[in-house]
Amino acid sequence: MEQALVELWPILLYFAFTLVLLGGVMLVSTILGPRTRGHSTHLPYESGILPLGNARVKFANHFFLYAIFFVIFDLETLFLFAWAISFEQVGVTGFIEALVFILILLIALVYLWRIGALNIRKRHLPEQN
Amino acid sequence: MQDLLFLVPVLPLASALVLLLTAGRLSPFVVAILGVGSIGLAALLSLFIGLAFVASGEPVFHQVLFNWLPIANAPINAALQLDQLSLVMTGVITGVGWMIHWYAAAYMYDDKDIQRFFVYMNLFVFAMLILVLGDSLVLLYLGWEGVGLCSFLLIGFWQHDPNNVKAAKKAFIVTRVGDTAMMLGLLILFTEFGSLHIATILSSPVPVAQHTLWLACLLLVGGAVGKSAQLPLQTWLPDAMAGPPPVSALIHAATMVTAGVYLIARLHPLFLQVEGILTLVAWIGALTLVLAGIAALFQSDIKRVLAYSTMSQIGYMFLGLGALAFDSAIFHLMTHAFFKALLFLTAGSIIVKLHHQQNIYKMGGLFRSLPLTSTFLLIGLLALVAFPGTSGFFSKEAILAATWQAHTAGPVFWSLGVLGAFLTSLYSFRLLFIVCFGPASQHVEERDFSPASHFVLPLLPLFVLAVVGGFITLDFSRVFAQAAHPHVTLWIEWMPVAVSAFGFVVAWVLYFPRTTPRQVDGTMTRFCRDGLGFDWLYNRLFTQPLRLFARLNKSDVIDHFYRFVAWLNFRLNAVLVTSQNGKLRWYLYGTLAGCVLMLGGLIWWR
Amino acid sequence: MSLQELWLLLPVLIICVGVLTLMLQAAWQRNNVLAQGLTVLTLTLALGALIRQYPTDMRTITLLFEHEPIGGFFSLLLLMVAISVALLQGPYMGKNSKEVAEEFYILLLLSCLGSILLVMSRHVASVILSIELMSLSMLAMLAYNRERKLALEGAMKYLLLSGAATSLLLLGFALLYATSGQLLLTQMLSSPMQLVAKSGFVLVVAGLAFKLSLVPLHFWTPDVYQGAPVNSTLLLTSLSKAAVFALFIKLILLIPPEFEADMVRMLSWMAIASMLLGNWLALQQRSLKRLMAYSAIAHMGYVLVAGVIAMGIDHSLVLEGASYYLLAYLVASILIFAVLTLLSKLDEQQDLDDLPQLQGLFWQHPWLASVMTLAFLSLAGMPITIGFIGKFYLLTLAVKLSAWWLVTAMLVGSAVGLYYYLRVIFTLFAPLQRDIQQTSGAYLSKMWIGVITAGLLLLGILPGLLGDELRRILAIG
Repeated sequence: MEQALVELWPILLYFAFTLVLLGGVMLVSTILGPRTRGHSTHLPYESGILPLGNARVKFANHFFLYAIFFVIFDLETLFLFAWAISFEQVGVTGFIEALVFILILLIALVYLWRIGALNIRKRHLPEQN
Repeated sequence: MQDLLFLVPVLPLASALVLLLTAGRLSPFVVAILGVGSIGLAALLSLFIGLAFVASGEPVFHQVLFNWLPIANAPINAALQLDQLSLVMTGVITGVGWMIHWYAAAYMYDDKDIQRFFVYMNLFVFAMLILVLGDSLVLLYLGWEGVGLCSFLLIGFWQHDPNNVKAAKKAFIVTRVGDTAMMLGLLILFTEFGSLHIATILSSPVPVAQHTLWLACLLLVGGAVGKSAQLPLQTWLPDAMAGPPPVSALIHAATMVTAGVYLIARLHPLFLQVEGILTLVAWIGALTLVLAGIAALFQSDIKRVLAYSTMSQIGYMFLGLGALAFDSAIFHLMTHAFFKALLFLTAGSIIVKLHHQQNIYKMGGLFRSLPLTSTFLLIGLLALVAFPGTSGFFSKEAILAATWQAHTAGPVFWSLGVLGAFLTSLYSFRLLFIVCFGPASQHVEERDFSPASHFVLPLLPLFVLAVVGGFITLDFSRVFAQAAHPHVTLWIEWMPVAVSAFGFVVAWVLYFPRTTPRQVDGTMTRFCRDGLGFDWLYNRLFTQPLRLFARLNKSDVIDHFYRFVAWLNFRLNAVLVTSQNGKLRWYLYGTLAGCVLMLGGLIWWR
Repeated sequence: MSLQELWLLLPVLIICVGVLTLMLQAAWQRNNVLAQGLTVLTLTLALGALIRQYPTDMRTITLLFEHEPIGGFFSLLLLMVAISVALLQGPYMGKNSKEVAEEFYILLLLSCLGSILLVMSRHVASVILSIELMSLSMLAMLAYNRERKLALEGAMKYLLLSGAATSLLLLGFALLYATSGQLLLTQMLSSPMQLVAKSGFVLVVAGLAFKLSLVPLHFWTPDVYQGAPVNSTLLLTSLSKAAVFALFIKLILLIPPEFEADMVRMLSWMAIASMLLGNWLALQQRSLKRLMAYSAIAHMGYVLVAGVIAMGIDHSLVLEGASYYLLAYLVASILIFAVLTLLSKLDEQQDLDDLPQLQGLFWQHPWLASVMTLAFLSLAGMPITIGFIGKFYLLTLAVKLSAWWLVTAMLVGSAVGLYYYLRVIFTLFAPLQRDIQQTSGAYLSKMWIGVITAGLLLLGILPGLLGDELRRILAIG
């Protein structure tokens, strides 16, 4: 047990530190934060509109999907960047591999395009009954 | 040709399977064709294979079918082996079996369960063939249990009568005792020799302690005694007559009950190594043949007379085995199969003609009304009493002559055998006189079967064989060490004949019906009729104490423990399922707790 | 990467091409039958390629992968499972399903790809990548019918819990890397281990034990199994378990000797707890999918026994036992879920799952009921089925090692298991209560089921057939 402590103390310290930090931040924000309890505290600010109905409604994640596609394809170019830098070293093999890579990306793009994932006006909701 | 050997058992099996899978859908005609045809084909095939085998001059033909259990040092193959002994057995099983199946097709034609009947019958033939053709004791045991099962199913074939079911259960349980003994014997052999392959065991150079071998042989004899209805496990056979007559002919006369004889003959080199075991076999045979002969004298049911006579004749075979006359014992097995099958089937014919009357005192005068059937009966009985020239004469003579000389038997056994011959003659002629002579019965149908009837045709070959079967010379030179053929004085040779003739005279005086015969009833008679009180004794010794014990433990003390275990399991289940409550948060904590537990264990155990 | 290495990767490459082809097909024209045909074709080609160049010794393929006999055997199993799922999906979806077909097959191929790569991995990076590829594509399949509330709930639970488990796995690898400075599995585990490294290894084991649903980390199993469409459940219970087990056994055979005693103790307790708890939990279960989940927990306990013994004695013999047991488990699972699949429809709100719904199945669909009976008997370890041989192997091995606690737990577990397996069988043969609809047609799927059933019986009666082959494979490996 003691030897375990000897070996594990940095990790324990790390855990303790994390706990203290998290607890401290929360504690400090509750103590120091301003608290008002007025009539319009929970209403939106001047230009907003008053909330109506329940917030738990289904909404399309379509824009989110669009963003994800962008991030994915953007990230893929990073690999091409790496390839471009070491172009001389990897030679023909690298060229073929990059070709395959781009081909796969292309197929994915065609797929997305054809199934209508890029069509911004299409609803991606399950049919409601 | 010999390569087709595997087809001999496979044909009946295939037919049984086809009949089983189409249960109740085929017409009786198709069922009969399939059921009889498969055995017929097997019989013809075994005939040709036998000819080819004899012509080849090989001592053993061996055919490996497939590797069954790949045990490392003693693999068990499904392999068949054909030698002179199993050839004779195969011939009897398929040949006599064919005739009996044919007859059975006629006998059972109107029964609504004929398809089930032939499933059992074909399955029986398959099991019996495996028993005699298997090259290892495992296969032999498989066949041994298979025939036991089929016997059970067929004795209780008409299962609507509780008595039949009772008889079937009795047969199964009593033979079971023997089977268990045999199983133990096989296990001993396996531990000693490390194999159950017959040839390996018989030629094994491993020295085995005399008492171990003695025990193994004794247990094997126990198995043989159970299957062959010898003392002290003979009580099931008379009750087994509850089945249809063809079943009695096939299973309880010609084939299954002789399995014990086959077992001892097959393993005889083992028995020869053990001091005194063959004398024991001889004693069993001699006592059984006398006791069964006495019991047969007092029976009133025609099939029970024949059952006791079967028991008695198998007693002769055991006597022969005990007297080292293995070839004569097998010879007698064969001739007995011929004439006893004939007798049982004839009895079946009589029973049909008398509208299912089996009591001999209600028959009488059949010679006039049923001349053809009665002739069959007469010839069968003559062969049974070993009338000179008939098949039974040659085989029984050979056994008795060997008994006189053998060092394992001797004059005492011989005189018991001769006494048995007297009894045989007495009960045979008693049966003949009461059934065929005297005033005619009222129940009998006047017209006999036409000679072209299916009730008669299958009997003809059996009839011929019962008469001339004794002239078949069997060659066992490669299986049994050639026993010096006994040369005994003339009076010893003719004594059994003289005694049989004397029996005929006594039977004439005692039983020839001058008026309507009457059944005598008295304590002694009843004692003899019930098989000399063995049933009573076993009932007292085994059944009643067991039942008493069962009554005492009616509430079953031990069951409480099991009920507690079941209860405990259900409680545990009830407690544990609360942990699967479907809450994600709980699962997450549980998973992490499990992980912490594992880490804690790692640190704790250091 | 040399050409020879590419050649060794051929099965994997075929599956990749299959995925791309399916994507193009979905883009070009949607067609259920075509997609299914392409998938089965791809998997069969991969199977052929794998058999064609079955590894006889260990060969590395780049830094990340290796090709060796045991892995080859597991890959065979994985492809067999994938083919079963692909064949069953057609009848399960029907002709006019509301859900699209191609994506299921794409996901199936992807998870199959992930599992095969996992079996071949020899590097931490490839392990993590392939395990995630397998799990993530499986996750989408778990909620393939988006209108089933239970399916969504199950998939969500799986996502969160599996995420937690993967983070444990990663943390474990991180600790191991921190102490050894190596990322190749062999090198990582061959250096002497301090407590930190040992904790890391335990965390890795925990991460894998989660996927195998071994006891302290088994909580997710029943809910996810019950929610998912039955065909996806089949994939979850067979594909991921087999692949993860292959990696698991590879890892525990690599640990240094001085750490073995600790691991044996820990894994023994996990195995015992899994066998007992799994069987006890299933005792009165009415939902068949939940029952199979508990049964999976118990069976993974049994397989773990093989792993425990493997560390104790001769490796190859134990691997043979473990492979045989796993094969037996896979075969039985495939058959049971296949029957359920043929009786259910993806579009419906619920699969045929409740035990009383199956009452009297034998009297209406005798063949399906017989297949199911055989499969349950095999799970219960009855003779003449492959399950018996599997249990027999394990028991003899455990006895040889004198691991009496394990033996006791195995026996108790089997006895308890018999109760609920037989209960299912009795239900199948009880009098018929209501009409049970079976998918008509689908002869190819049914033939495949027949082939697998025949295998179950054949290997149960003649264990020598595969036993010798396995021994030959593993003796070399």
